[in-house]
Amino acid sequence: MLPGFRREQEERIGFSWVMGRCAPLTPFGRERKKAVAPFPATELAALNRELDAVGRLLDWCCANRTWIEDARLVLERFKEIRGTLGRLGEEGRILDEVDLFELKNFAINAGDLRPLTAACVLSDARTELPDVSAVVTALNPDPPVTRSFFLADAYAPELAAIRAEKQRIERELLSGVAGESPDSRETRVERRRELVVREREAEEQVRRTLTARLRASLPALEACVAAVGTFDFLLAKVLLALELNAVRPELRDNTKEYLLEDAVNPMVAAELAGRGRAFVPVSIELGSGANVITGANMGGKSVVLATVTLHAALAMCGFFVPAARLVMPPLAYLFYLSDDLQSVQQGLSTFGAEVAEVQRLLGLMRHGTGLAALDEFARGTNPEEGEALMRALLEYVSRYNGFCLASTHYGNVVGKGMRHFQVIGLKRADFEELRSRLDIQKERSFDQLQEYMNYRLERVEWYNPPPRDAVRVAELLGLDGELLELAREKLRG
Amino acid sequence: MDGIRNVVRCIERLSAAELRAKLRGLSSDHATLAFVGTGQGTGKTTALQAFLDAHAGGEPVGVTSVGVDGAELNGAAERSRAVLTVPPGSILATASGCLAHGDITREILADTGVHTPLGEVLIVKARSGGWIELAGPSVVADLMRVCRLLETHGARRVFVDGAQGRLSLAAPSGSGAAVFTVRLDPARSVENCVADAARVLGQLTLAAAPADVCRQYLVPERGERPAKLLVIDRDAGKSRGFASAEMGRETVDAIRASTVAIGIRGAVTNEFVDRLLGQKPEARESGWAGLMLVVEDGTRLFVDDRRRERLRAAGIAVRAARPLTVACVAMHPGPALAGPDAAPVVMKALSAAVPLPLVDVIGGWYAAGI
Repeated sequence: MLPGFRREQEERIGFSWVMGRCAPLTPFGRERKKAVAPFPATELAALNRELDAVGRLLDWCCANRTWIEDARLVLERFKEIRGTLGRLGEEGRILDEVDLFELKNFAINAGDLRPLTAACVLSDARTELPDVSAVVTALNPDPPVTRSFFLADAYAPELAAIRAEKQRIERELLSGVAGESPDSRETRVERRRELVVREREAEEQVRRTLTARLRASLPALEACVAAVGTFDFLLAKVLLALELNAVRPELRDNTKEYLLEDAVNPMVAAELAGRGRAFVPVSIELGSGANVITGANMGGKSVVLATVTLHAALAMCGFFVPAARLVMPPLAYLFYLSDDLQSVQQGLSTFGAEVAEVQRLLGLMRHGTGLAALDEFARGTNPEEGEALMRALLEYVSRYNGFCLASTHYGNVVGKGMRHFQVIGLKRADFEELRSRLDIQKERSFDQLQEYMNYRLERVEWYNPPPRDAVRVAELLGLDGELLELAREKLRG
Repeated sequence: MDGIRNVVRCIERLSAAELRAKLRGLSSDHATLAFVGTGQGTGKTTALQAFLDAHAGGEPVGVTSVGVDGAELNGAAERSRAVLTVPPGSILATASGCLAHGDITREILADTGVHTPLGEVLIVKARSGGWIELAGPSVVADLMRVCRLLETHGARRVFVDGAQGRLSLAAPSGSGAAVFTVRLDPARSVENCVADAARVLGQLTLAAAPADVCRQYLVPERGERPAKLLVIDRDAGKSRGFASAEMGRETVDAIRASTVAIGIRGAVTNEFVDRLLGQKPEARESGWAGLMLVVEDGTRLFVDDRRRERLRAAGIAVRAARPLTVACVAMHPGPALAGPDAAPVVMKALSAAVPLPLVDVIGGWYAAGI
């Protein structure tokens, strides 16, 4: 989970969708994914190391496609082993046959994975698998190496002798001995019972010895678990990057800008693709302080906010981003304010919930450079006060380092020195032509309007007023003519 | 099955060796044999043990037992464990929690990824003979997977000890068959017990639907989720599928003069039959008469005698798209009829009602099938 984000917010920006596509194959890799969190802004070097590792493995995978399949096949075989390792670590505990079977298979799998991870030269100590062949040797006394496990006769001559006698008696019991009396048969059955008890005792002794021997390999096995988890998660990140055509984000300590070029929100893109439409990539260059987006209704402002936040979140978590380029400083916090209903359900009004969240943002801003995305803050109160609050918030955040990107319909909130972006929307469209075209198929007007909508952003002067297209858009969407005329009268008046 | 009353069947007592040979013969055509019965204590495990003994010394046999769902714990897990004596070389599938209970020398061959309340089901080779507790998967899909794994690890034939009342496990694979076990209930007459067994067997061995109907039933519709209810037309292009198995007005209206069958992909219950017969297909002059009601196999039929009779009276024939094979009926006279003549008495009563091979695995009595 992203710190400070609710599940619905992660879903809304598309973070959950992207995480859903990231699929480690081992329990250890899945655990890494579950614990994913942004790197602290103070650990830029560690974050860059992670991104370097993803980059190196990505390059390797691009040049060695068959290697990917080989690695995946081995990773899929790993099962949860940490319970067994925990028991192995308990002094005096004797592992049972199932534990030993699982350890053997883990060690074989680690041995299979080792040359594969070594081949891709990740230069990352975290993914270097220790040699655990001693575990395989201990658990497979009779060559060749097999994945099955058996407390073999080779472990103890006494065990071999007991089993040989047990087998002899079993053969006799099965085939019968000519002229054998019932008493004699019962004697054999009893003798077999005794041998079973002795066999169990001898097996336990073997297990005790084996457990003690394996305990020496416990640190190596634990290191293996960690390395497999790291490598698995790294490969999952790489495969995700390949799927999303993602690039390495450039994280720089010294930059005062957040530059995003041709960014895609994969969740929105997938949803649009399902309707046969293409996502219009987002490009934006945020400056330190307040950045404001204004624009037409249905112009995609919320998608821009979600995409900017998603890319920052992915970059800070050590993922490549689905964009042509992302340059940004390490961020101490991520903040996203939208009109989700969670807080409302908790008993607060929309406005009340927003105020509580903004108060939280003010606290975060004191801790360093971050990114805050505000989707139409204060839309739920009266326009006069809402506008004042919005303007005040933008001026306030401008005093701090960090990026605040806010979308709004208020006309008088962008101050001098703030960056102002507008969705081109229907600004360049011929409304008369649009009206005549949309009339042809009224029931599809919503989809058609989206086709004519220009979702690209352009940077405009701070004093440019927001477009006033709401009535015209409502008309194109087929709102009642009489009602529209009334609205126009009000605007004129 | 009514015609068999006039057939005289030879009931013979076999020697131990003859019985073993007979049991081998009964299982020879089937890759999987599931031992099923309608209640607890019908002798499923006893019959399985006899089949297992018959194969001792021959090709390796795979064995598993149907376990219980997690929700059915509270002692059910205990009851679901089958204790069997297996010959050396047997390939077993059992939960890891059962491994310690037994006296065989064992080798763990593989895990299965199938988890039960008693631990993961493991594939184990018996390196010596002896007894072992078996508790396998409780879900049909898992059981099929485990049966395949048993074959992969060398079992030439797989025996499945079925759970009480789980007739749906009668044929975990297409090449399998069931052994139906019958034990007399001491509280009821021989005639009643035999009649019950014959009724369940009649249901299990539902006759197959015609090939063209089966094709339409079994092949899922392209590009969509398979329909739960099919109105099957003589002309496949005119057949219609419905996402719900509810027999509503829309479904009945889809029935045409050329409709040959209604296919249900799921269970047919008393309620379904009542809803079906409570309506009338307007497009057919003969009403329901001449139509077939097709289910996947006999285990999907959960209707009582009264509904069965209503279906018959309406002229609806119930058919299976995947008919089950019952290799034989293994009977046990139980304590109801003690004495040396008990088994032949029961065999005689059963042979008059059931045309399948009958075998008493304890007493060695046998009647060939018709």
